[in-house]
Amino acid sequence: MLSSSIKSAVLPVLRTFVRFKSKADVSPSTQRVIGQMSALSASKKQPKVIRLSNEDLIKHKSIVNAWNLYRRRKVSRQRDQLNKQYQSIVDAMEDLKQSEPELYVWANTKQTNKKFPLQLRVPTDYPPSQPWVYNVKK
Amino acid sequence: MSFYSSVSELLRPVTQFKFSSLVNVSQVRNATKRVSGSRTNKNDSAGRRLGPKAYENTFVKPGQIIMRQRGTKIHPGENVGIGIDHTIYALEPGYVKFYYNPFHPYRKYVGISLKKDLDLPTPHFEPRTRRFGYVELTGLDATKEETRMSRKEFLATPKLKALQEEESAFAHKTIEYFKEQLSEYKDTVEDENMGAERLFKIYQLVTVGQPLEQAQIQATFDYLWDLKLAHNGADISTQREKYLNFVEKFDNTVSVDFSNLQDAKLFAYITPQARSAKKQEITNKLETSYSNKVLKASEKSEVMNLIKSPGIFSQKEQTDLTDTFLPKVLPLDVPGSIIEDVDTKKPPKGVVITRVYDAETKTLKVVGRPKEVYSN
Amino acid sequence: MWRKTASKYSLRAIHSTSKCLTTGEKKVWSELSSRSSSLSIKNAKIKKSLFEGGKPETIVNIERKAAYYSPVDIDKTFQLAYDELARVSGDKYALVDELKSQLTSETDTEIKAQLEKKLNKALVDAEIYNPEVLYNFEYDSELIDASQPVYRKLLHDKWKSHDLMVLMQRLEQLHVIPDTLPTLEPKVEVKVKFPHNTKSEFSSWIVPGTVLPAFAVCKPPTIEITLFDETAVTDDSNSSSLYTVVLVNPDEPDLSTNSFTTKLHYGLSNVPLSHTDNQIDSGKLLTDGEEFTFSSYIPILPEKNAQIQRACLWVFRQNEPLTIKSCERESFNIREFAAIHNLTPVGAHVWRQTFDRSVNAIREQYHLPRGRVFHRVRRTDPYMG
Repeated sequence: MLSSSIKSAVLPVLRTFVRFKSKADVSPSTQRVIGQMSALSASKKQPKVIRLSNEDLIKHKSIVNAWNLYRRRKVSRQRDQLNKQYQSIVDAMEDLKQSEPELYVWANTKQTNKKFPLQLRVPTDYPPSQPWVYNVKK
Repeated sequence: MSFYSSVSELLRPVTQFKFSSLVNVSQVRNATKRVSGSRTNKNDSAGRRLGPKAYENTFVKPGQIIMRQRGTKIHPGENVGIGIDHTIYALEPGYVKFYYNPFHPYRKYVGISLKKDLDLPTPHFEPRTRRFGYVELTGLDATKEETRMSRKEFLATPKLKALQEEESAFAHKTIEYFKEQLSEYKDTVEDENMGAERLFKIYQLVTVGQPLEQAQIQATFDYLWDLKLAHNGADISTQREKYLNFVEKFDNTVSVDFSNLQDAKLFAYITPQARSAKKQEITNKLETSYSNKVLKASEKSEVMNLIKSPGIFSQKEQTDLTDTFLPKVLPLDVPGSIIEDVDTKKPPKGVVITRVYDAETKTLKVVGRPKEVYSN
Repeated sequence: MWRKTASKYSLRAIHSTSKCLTTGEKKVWSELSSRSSSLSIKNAKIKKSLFEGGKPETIVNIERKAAYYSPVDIDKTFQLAYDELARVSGDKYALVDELKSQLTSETDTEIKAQLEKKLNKALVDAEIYNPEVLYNFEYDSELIDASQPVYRKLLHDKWKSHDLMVLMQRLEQLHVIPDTLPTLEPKVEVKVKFPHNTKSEFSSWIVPGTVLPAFAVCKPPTIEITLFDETAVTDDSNSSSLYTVVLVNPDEPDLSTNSFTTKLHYGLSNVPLSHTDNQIDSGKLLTDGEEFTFSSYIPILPEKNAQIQRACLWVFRQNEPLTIKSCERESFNIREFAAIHNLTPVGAHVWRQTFDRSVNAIREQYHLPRGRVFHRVRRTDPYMG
């Protein structure tokens, strides 16, 4: 009676110590050799060949071409915009130099000892999706 | 007790030291130089006799050492080799030259110039000066050397001989076969031998992948080239004209279906236009009357005959057509290729029980299929 | 893996960009009146399966075809991609029309050349993404039409990606450069084969540097010279389309100097070549062989123990029509030859040969004296040149 109760108490505990349930039919040593060989095999190191029909390969290539074209266009649009932004800054500074030379000098003097305020949000290209957090909690 | 006597016990060593005569001569010795040396100081070896063994412009023979060194103080240049211990030795007889290489400006080089007045390095775009070095043999020595075989060649000889015999036997057999068939066209083809040999050459060229038209041109070219060589520069224009006339007549008379030579038959020449028209006709016929239905054995042989009509389809086209019209197993959507209500335990004669996948219910179904669905 | 990526990028990104742009555009690639027929797929069934989906027609075997499933949504995505690519191509064709009209009105040759260059680039850009062109280039070699700039571009890229690198490696490592000519700036692809061979291992195009037996080279080769640049104009009156081909062996033993001389084995000149007619084959040699040949073909037949010898084939572009009467074969100086006739080397090829058992028979065939026999051990006699 006592032994059976001990058994029932201990067995589930013992079971938890079996880390992996053996699923393979082959012995662990064979499994190890298979693992090693498959890790060494050249085919594992090659990129997988996409097994597609000729038509589908051409379709795939065309889709990739269109996608690359789209991305290229997007990048160039962004670059153009940044160039424009920079140009407008330069124009403004030129304007300032012509109209208010003193202000221009003041705007261009390097302010030493003035650290960047840590509280300030890091400047980004675009405004945040939620510009102001009203219920801020600290 | 006086003060002196009370502290004298403590002072004694100092006073004793003060009067010691030894203390005055002793010196401070920081580094030790022992008179008899030390155990580690006896390992000096004799000089290794390194350095150049041949100098600028000295004549050296192949294998002669030019430089002994530790590491590559001097790098090996033209016509010299370098050993495991960086010894530089000559590979060619010539004159030693020490030089700088513009491609490695911080290295010194040594090389062998084959002529005394040729400087190294050889200019980058100039041809190399090379020595041949082999002497000519004459008489018996020459014949002996010429017939001498490497072990590899010697061992392969019987096999090569057998192969050659097999090839020539095959050529002979095929040419004879062509000759036999050419006798049917006696009135147009005058020279059967020439015709059969031409056909065999074309057959060989077609089997290595040349298109028929190109193979015909090549066969003509090869014949005329051999003719020219045989006449050794003499005028061959009449023979040339004759052969070209023969070829024109021959090629427009007969042709062979090279796609299956085992049961090949000569047939009357068809023009490419007629051939493509015939192709279209046969394909249409196959599509209208032999596709999308279960074919009887007799119909199957008709299809096979159509596909193998001599001189119409190439080998690849034939296999493609066979795959399309005589597949190993007919697809399931062909009408009449599935018999649904069938006694699986006791199928009727000529019906094969098989399991097929039903895409609608996503299950396997047991059905009967007529025997004719399978190609063999 | 494909399924995931397809559904991820295709339907959202491409759709969002091309939706507003494709409406009302006419499709440039389906219009065939002004474009060459080689720019579209010949087989109607394959074309249909490319554009309308369904089981692929290129899989002929019925069972394999039934077992094949295309990636999810590939047809839908492809249609979007196609519309977008065709729209971009439409812009390029507009540029082509503009450049063509400019060309007709232009008279200055220099500006004309520049415009032609631009036009060529625009023609390439207009077709380089055409799926039908890509299909023909990959799978239907018969339809590759070298008169079309886009196919030339594709051929050029393919050549540069592998064959050119192999050729240059062999030319340098076998010292063809600088033993024959100082250097080579490759402009054309040179392919060589010996079509008289009836054994499959010798009948196809030769990889540069291969060692060939004497019987495999006993008749003149077929030389294919693919021109990529636009200077090679097609009309025969223009002298820049004339080519000279020379085959030399720089390893002919010369016992008097204990060194080597160069021997000329084959010389062709004034060969007109164009983008489409680019082969010097048996047919051409049969009809015009006498006219081109200034030194008839003699195979390289190395003597016993004379070591491995290089057959260096050089292709030159001529600056004017040449009149080479005959040429001394022995101690041929290829540098001098190129300089005298004002020739520009544009391509080269190399294979190697050594003594084998077929050499003697071929020597007899060509009425050449029996070859010398050398001792198999190399001696230390100095160079005498």
